[in-house]
Order: sequence, then C-alpha cells, then structure tokens
Amino acid sequence: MRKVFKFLEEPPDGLQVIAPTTFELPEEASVYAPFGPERIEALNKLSRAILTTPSLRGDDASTAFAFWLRPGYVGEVHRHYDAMCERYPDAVVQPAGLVFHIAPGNVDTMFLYSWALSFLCGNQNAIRISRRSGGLLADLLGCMNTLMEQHPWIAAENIFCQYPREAADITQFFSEQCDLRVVWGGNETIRRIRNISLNPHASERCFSSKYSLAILKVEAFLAADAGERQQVFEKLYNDIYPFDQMACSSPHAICWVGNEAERTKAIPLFQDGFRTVLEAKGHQDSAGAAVKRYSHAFEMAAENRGRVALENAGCLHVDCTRNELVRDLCGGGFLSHYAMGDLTELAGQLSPRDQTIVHYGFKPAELKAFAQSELHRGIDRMVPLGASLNFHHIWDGFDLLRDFSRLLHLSS
Amino acid sequence: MHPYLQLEPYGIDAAQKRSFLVEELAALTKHHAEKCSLYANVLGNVFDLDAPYKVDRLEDVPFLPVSLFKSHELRSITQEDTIKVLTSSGTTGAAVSRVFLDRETALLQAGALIRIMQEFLGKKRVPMVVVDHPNVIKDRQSFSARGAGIMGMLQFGRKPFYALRDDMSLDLEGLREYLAPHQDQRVLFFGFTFMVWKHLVQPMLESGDQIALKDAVLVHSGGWKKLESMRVSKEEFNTTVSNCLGSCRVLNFYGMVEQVGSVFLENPKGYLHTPAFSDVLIRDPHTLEVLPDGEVGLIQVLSILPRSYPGHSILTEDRGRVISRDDADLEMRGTYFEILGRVPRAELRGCSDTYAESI
Repeated sequence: MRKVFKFLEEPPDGLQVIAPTTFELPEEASVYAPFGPERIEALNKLSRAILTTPSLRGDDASTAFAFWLRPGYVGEVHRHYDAMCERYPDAVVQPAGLVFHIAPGNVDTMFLYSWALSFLCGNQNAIRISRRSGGLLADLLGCMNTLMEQHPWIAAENIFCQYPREAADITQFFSEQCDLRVVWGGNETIRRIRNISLNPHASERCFSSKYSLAILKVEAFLAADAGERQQVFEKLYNDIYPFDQMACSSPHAICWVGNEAERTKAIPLFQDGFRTVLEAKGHQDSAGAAVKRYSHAFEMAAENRGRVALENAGCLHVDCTRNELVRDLCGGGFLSHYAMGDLTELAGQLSPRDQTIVHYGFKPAELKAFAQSELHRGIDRMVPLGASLNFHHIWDGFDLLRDFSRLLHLSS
Repeated sequence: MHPYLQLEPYGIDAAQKRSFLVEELAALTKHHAEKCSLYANVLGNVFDLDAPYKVDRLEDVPFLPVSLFKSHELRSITQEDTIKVLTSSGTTGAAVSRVFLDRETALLQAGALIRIMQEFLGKKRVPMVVVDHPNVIKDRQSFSARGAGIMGMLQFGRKPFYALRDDMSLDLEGLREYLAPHQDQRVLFFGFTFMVWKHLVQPMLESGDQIALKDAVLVHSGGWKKLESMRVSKEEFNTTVSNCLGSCRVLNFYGMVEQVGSVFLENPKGYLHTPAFSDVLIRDPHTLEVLPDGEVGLIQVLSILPRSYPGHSILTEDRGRVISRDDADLEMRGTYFEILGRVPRAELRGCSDTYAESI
C-alpha cells in the first residue's frame, strides 16, 4: 500500500486539479507492478470509455489513442519492456519514481502516450496541461476521472493539473519533488523550464522543436498504378493534416529523389492528384490558413527560393529552386517540393532539428544504408507514408521505457 | 500639379477609370520590377511574369500580400532618395510594415489626400481638434500610422488643438476654451475610432458634459474591431458622437500605411468610396480569383500613386465586398464597397510551445 498523493492534501496556490476531482480519495492505495495486469486492464477500460464518448469517438487523434491503449498494442510494448529487462541481467528494473510531465500547448493527445507509458512502467505521474487545451482534452480527462473513481489506486498515483505559465513556483514545486521531468512543447518552453532548478537526483528529458519531411522516390511514384497513387495521396493527407500540420512529426516538405526528367513529370502529377484527394475528403480550409499559406509563399518567392502556384484550396505547393533545405514551418497545408538526385544530397543537410522522415518507394536496404550512414547528423524516425503521427516508445532518439525506469544494480 | 492630382476624385465613371488605371498600373508594375529585385522575383515566381512585364487587364495586375511589407524591405528607390519611412501600427513585438517614400511619392500622397478631403470638407481650412496628444507626431522622420494619419490631416485644420494629455486623459476645459469662438462654424475633429470612443466620448458620457457645435465633422479611422468587442455598433457610435458634440457629421475613413492614395471615405450611403486614383477588387481567399460584385472576399487595393515602393497593388487581410458603382442617385462616380472585418488569424495547433502560449 502507498499513501495517497500529498499534492492533493495541500496543493500549491494556483494549482487547479483536473483529475482526480470527482470523488473522495482513500488514505492509501495499492501499488501494482510495472505492466501488471491491473495496469493493462485499466488502460483497456480507459480505451473503452474514450470509444463510448461521442465527442471523442468522432476525433481521429482520440480514437487512435484509444486503440493504442488496447491490450493488443500494449502487449507489444510489454514485450519490449520484458526484452529491456532481459538486457540487464545484473539489474532489477524499477519505476523511475515520480514523473513530472509538461504537456505541449495544443496537441491534445501526444503527451497522453507518454503518460500511458510512464503509467505502465509503474510511476507516479504529475501532468501539467496547457491552459490552451480544448474541449476534447476535457472530455478525455473526464474519462480519466471516471476510471480513477472506479480504481482509486490510479487516482493515488496520477494527477492532471493546470496552472498559469507565470506560476514558475508551481513548476518549481513539482521539479523539486520529481525524479524525472519530461518537457514536451518546443524550444522556448524548454529554455524557460531549464531555468527552473530540478531536484539534483532527478533527470530530465526534453522534446525540442522539430522539423519533419517526406521523401518520395520519383520512379516508384511514376510506376505506381492509379490505385496505389491514391494510397500515396491518402496516406500523405493523414500525415499532413491532423494538428494543422504543426505536430513535430508532420511533414512540411517533399524531397523528390530521382532523375530530373522524371521528376518534372512527377511533381505536377502529384499536385493534381493531391488536390483531388483534398476535394474528395471534403477538406475544410479556413480563410485564415489560406492567407497564412500564400503570405509565406510570397516570402519564399521574393527571396527567389521557389516558384508558387497560387491555387490554394487546402494545400499550397512551392517548387523550391534550390535543393538546400530551408525548413519552412508554415503549416495548415503547405508543401515545399525539393528535388534531389539521390539521398546523399539530403543526408548532408540533416541536423538535430530534423525528426521524422516519411518515406515512399525506397527499398529497405536503401533506407537502412541511409539511416546507418547518416543517423549522427539528425533524424530520429523513418516511417512509411501514413505513419508520421504514430506514437512509438522510441521517440526523438530515446527509449521512453528506459527513461521511465530506474536500474537497480544487483550483484549476489 | 501632377496630372494624376488634377483628376476629379469622384468625377470619373468606373469603366473610364478602369481603362486608365490598367495603363498606369501596368506601367508601375514594369517600373517596380526594374527597380526592386524582390518585387521582380515575386513577379517571376508567382505570376510567371517576366520582362517586359506586360499586363493587359486590371485583374491581371500582380499583387503583393500586405504581410510582405512586414517581412521584407520593399523599395524602388535608393536609400539616399528615401525621405520618409512610414510604419504601420502594430502590437508590441509584432512585425510592422515599413513603407519608403521619396519626395515624389510623398507629394503625391499629400496631394491625393487634399483632393479627397476637399470634396468632403471644402477648400477652406477650419478649426481642428485632434483626438490624441501632441507627442505622437514628435519624430518627423519616422511616423507610426497614427502619427502619419494625424500629419496628413493637419493640413486641413487651422491652429489644431490636441484634446488629450500625454496620459490620454481628456482636456475638456481646454477643449471648451478652444471651441468657444467657433460654436457656429465648421470644426473638424480627427482621431482613431477607438480613441475617439474611449478618450473623448466615454469621458463626456461619464461626466454628462456636452458641447454644442453647429457644424462639426468627425473624420475617424482605424477599424471597428475594438468597438465591436465592446458591442458598440456604427450607428450607436455615430449618434453618440453627435450627441456629445452637438451637430456632427461622422465620416469613417479606411486607408493603410502600405498604400499611398488608397483613401476611402464614406459616401452618403455609408459605404467606402474609391477615388479616381484607386480601385478595389475582391478575391476569393482560397483560389485568389476575382469575385463578382456583392460576394465577400479579400480586398485588393490598387493605386496609381506609389512610385517609390511596389505598393500599387496590395492584397489586404480585410474581408469585404463591392456594393455598386456609378449609382445614378449618388453624385460620386466610381466603385464603392464595405469592409467586414479582418480574416481571423489562423491559430494552428501543434506541439509548439507550452509556455509561449498567450493565456
């Protein structure tokens, strides 16, 4: 048994607890082992609660999270966890302790994956949620409250809260208590948070601002039949448009890899086909996003960085004149097209700012060679089209299962 | 006087105006393309327009988004020929537009304003009350939009009186004293819409003071956004101002630092009227195609006056629609339109900064 969260007895001024809120907490609660059946079943229940909440069932990101929480996916993570434990025969793998998560401004679900992993690893969690968060997150946390009510031990080890960003003292409060501080939310947030001292025993994991892109092999794209091309467009649509193309793993550029003559055929084909998919999906485009896109495109045009087609119904394409990656982060449906003879042209330009490459048309051996030769210059993930937003416990170059665990060296 | 300025501001039929506008705007497009490389880059990369930069229709005159004047220094003159830099008003930290004027364009700007305002105010200079404090125009080299607006209007007034103190409080006693000899004459008031409301009208409402003028004219600009958020309608604004000042004609004014010559004042029907040197087109925000009269889209403003910087054709972020043109029951010729507020800024979600959020 363990004592219930002391934060709840005397919360610091200005702290608003979102969950648990709806019931009286017990004095103490059971503690369950990492990946114990109770934890797996709890996530399964949360999954069902999400899928039976109408507002969440209609939201792609929430349903994706709900599916990920099911025993099937969690079982996959569990196998990785067991494999990790086996890698350390001289150690007992323990939970890291109290993990303080600072969630990003507006991607409502991404940080919940990190919470779920930490929960499975057996940690206590304090999660600071952005005050900018929308109604969907409120509904997700409603499900969380219900779960906590049914299982007070979950309430005893997890607290979701909000407080103003000016309240550095509350960040300080959690930073002194925690064993691990996890900061999602970009460079500026990380700079601010790093000014707030951390318990000397604790460690920190920060997820900085990132840039992501797609690589398409010209010859594969041209060789694809209509059905397969349709798949390419639909998958890319799913990579680009959730979170208004502003998730760290949303691609902003397409690098067309192949010979020049074929490339000039592929790009217009792509733009036409992509427009058709946007139309077929009934893509809702706001005037504000349209203005933002062409404003950005004009800036690129003024600097002679690319040619722009003003056709702007949901996606604006800029054909970049040079193959130097500029990392334009416009968002809301904006693609810079770069031309590359081969992957080495890209590899030489990658930096630690670069996170995800979604790829199409390359052989596994080509991808592996690219990854092996160039990993040290950046790029944290290479995934097929359509998988840019899929969460994995290996993220930004780190194994979160390892981060959320403590190794107790044991020699008998 | 420059030939443009001899044009009668509201005396030219829309069709007639259009034909000479096309000619002048095409010439300006070529002029700026040859003098401003950033502009030439845009023509080539966006509009597929290269030397000799031939343009045949008004709809085909290339445009720049207004935001480009914030991100880039666009000028068609040398540094030495620059006599004035206008900047847009912006919230702290946000980028502001910079507009570079040489002598010629500055004179055109002043001249156009005179021609337009005389149509509304007459040729005689009249006593003038500026609803602001005098320090806002202290720096004569670099003006904010607020300062530039006041400077432009000062030429219509005689011995101007600044109604506000440095701390923005209303100097009502001073104002009464200034107005005392002019009760029965025309008096010009000028100020920014929100400031007129907040720093002139509201203090007078609160104290119950009134001024009984016989022939006041208030020219105000700056947009309705702040008043809308306070739930003050245009009608309420107009009547309340009239009540405070006695009898007052209220004229809304739409213009922008970015485009010299685009000075739009309300016609008797309450819509904004384009003068001879400028026109508007409405474009669909998604396709950027020109929309027919009556349909709402982004307002593109065209003016034949900007020669020192490529601002003769600008796509604004304001929404609006063309109402009509050359109405028989209006003495004013030309197109008139209305503004329906700014396009809401796209608040894109993202993994972006937790702590950079505004609360």
